[in-house]
Amino acid sequence: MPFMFLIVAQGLAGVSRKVVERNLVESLEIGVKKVKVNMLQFTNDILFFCEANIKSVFTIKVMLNCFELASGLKVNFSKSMIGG
Amino acid sequence: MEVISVVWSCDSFNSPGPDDFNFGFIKFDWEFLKVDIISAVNKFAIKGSWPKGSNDSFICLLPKVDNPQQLGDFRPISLVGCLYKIVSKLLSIKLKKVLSKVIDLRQSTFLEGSELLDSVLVTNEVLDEIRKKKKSCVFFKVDYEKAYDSVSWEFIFYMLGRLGFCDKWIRWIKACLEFSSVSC
Repeated sequence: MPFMFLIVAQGLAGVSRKVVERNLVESLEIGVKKVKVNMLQFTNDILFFCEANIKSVFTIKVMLNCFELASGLKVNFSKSMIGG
Repeated sequence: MEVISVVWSCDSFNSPGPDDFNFGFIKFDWEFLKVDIISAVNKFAIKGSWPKGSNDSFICLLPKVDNPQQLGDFRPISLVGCLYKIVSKLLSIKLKKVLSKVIDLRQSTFLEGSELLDSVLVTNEVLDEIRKKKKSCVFFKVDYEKAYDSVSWEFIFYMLGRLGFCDKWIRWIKACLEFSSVSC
């Protein structure tokens, strides 16, 4: 059931929202309305956006590690990529 | 009757599960079988568990390439029985209705009213704006290893509870996951 995966991924979305609320990750503000965009998910791919500072990147890494411990979803670092 | 629409939405001649009945049989003899099937579904809804054997499945290996040599060249599929199919379809139809309310906008698959291309559009806009304003930005694309089969069940149940599903629902999902057994 693919829906189950959505429910699991919602866990990560929740964490990422909290992290932005507490200012651990500075998310980008896009457009006139300053919409905060920090993550997008397509089934089993996630895309994070953040300001280029070491705190944000570090927080995202910690977040992914914690999510792995909680849910068992391992990040495949060889297929992941980072850019700026 | 939701059960009827579910049965008729299934393909008649897919490979049958371990009980050797496919949906063609059920549709053909619907008048005779419907009492039993509906009472079985109702029983599942009340008890939240399966009678022994009705959730068994066959694992079938389909070759991905012409001359398969390793185990990785096969794609395993599991053939489940009709009853399980009916119940899981019923559950997912119901789930679909509420999911768009509990799931974040930022996830863009499987949900009604959101398109796959929405995320692509957003990504494109973000990158465009960054380039125009020459902002600094890091983007990080994450890929899960074996996404579907490595999720721990405990976490699914925890998330279901967190999202406000009642105990009954969690029990149904649990029954679907835990009472299954597999043979080759």
